[in-house]
Amino acid sequence: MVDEVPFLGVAYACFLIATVAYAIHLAKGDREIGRAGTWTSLLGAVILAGGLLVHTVRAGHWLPVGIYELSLTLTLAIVSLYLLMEHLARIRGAGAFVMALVLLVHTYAILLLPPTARLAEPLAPALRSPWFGLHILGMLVAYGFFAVACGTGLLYLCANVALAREGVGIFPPLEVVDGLNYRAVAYGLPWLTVGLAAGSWWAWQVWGSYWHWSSREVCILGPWLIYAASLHLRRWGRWSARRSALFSALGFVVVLLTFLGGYVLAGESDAISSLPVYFRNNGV
Amino acid sequence: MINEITPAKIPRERDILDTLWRLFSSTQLAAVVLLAVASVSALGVLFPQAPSQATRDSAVYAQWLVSSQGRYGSWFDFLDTMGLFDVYGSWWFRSLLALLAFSLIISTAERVASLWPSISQAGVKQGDDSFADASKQAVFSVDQPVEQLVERLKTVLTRRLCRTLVEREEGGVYLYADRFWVEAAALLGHIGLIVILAAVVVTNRLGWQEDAVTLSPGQSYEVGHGLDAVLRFEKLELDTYPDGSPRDYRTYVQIIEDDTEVEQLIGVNRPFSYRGVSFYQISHGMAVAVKASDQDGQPLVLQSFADGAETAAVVSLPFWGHQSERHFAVPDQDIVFQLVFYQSLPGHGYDGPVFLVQAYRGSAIEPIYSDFVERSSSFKVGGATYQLALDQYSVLRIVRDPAIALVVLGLLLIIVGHFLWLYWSPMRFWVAVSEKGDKTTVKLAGTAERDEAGFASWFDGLAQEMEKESKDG
Repeated sequence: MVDEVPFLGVAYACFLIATVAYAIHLAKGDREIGRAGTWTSLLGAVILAGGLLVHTVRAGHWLPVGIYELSLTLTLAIVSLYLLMEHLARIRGAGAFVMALVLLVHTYAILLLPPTARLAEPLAPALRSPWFGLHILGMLVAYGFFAVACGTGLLYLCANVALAREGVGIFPPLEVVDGLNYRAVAYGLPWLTVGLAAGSWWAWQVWGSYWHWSSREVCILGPWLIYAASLHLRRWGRWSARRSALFSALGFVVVLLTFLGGYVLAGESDAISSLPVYFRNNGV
Repeated sequence: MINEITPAKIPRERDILDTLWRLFSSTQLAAVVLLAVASVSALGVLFPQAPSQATRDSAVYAQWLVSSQGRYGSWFDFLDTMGLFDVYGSWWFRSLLALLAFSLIISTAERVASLWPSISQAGVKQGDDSFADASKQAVFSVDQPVEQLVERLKTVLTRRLCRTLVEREEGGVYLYADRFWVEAAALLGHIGLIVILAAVVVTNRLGWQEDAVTLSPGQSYEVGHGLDAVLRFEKLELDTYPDGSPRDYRTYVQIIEDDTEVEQLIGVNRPFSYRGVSFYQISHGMAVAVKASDQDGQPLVLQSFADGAETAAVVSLPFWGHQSERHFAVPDQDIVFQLVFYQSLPGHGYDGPVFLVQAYRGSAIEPIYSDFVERSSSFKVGGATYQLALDQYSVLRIVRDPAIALVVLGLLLIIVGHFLWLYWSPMRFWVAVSEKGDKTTVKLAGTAERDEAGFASWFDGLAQEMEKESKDG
């Protein structure tokens, strides 16, 4: 049977090239190199989608559930949403930062996870629910947007430093980057709400409890609270765009910690209430 | 020289309630409390939380206690006193949530109070200074009669924004457009959260749940809580994938009430509801029913070690996981049995589920009986005959939550509110149309509450569209 590994390797190479191209574009202002970054990212996304399709056929279900499948799908979500935002905003400056995040998640999925995590396993009975599918969709789209917000936040911080040192630079105007940063957070939060709500309704359907403060639930609630706070702070007159940029960058660190760390913590310290352990212990 | 005495400026008096109102309705406080809840919630993930009272099983709790005491050593008592092993039930976490709820309610009331005036008293006519102060401005002139032009501009504004108001004066015509519904949408999210909080209160007051109702085939359970119904477990059906892992499982039950029997199916993700009570199938597993008789064929009384179990002629022992163990005692014979369940033991020649049965008399360390039991069978210990019958059991959760519809409503309000509020920016747009000679001059101005860069681009597009529309006409 065809394996997804070659697809993932080629996609990784594409993302690496795209990161370098975007970085050169940012440093030199070369539009052609920037365009090459865009097309290479798109190519990588298509190849990654092909790899995921192969894995889906092997696993026998389309829903990403394990950390391996979720990491790969998150990679695809980040690239796709970044390209969408790039198309809408018509600036490529954040590409270098966003693609670096893509490489980080992709590296984790294909190089750092143990081989057992990459096994294509059948879907547990409780996960065979459209509400669980909607939960996953909402979370991935939200996290994709937050990755873009992190990238634009880092771009803003760099542009701000460059502006203070050199007066003008090759960076896009600060207000444009800030606008893109705001939109990435604002577009992501409703999807996180969808993920949270669908997950709660799914839990109600499975266990008759829509919320019980499990580690997985808290790991989703944390980013929701942080990004909701960030949008509230933007309405405060004395809150600067620089702080918002910093918040977005740090917010995504929390997202990564909760996304990746949730699985580690579930197995280590919260063995009573976490859903994965609940599945394991109860044969669900 | 006589100094002119000017009256001192008297600041507006603020009483304590006014100050508190401003504090609790401020976005800063909301943001700080949101971040505080996020930080404190993280403690519950970092520290292993004690099993909740509702689902507390003495064995599970003992296991948790031993592992936590081992991990934190002498710090355990201090951390326990601080409530770090029950973060979400601690008074300080609940106080923080109460503060968040209070802030939410006050800020929503504040917004409701300010929303209507901003909608109903929109300033259509703006002076030149206001045009100059707006985030974006544009001016163009066309050869079109004013009235005809106004209708076209109104059409464009209504299409691109939402509400358009027109005021006619001697010097010209003024138009104002906004997305007033976006302001209202922001409220939906807050109202949705308040509805969910209200639902939580209703659930805590009127709802109840019975966790882990374990039933084997033929067993019945009185639902209680004012419901005169009995749930009778019929059978469990299990579907597996080719590798043997569970694909789906269904529990068939009967609800018996007032001489009526209703057959029902409870599936994973498919709870069954009866008169406001929902039945969930949360797990299943292998169970062993044990009964014993002495040398004369008289049944022996058995005692399960499960919480609250009483002596009975038959004990049902449910097994969890791969290598779980259960115990039961035979008080009359001073014997304790230990049964260990294995999914398989290829090393001992068992490819399927198997039990290791060991019997201990009194406080002896060495077992008086030890053997593997593969399927339903009987064996003799100390002259008594023991019969094991293997079966599947189901674990059900029975829940009554009268506020679940409120929760759904709250979630929907939050989702709709968030999408409307965050995907559409609230903005205001003013147009002044005046005739100067043969030309009609159109002045545009607009302001957005957020994302000014995005608004600037949007404004330029709208200004171009309006100019084109005006000239094409």
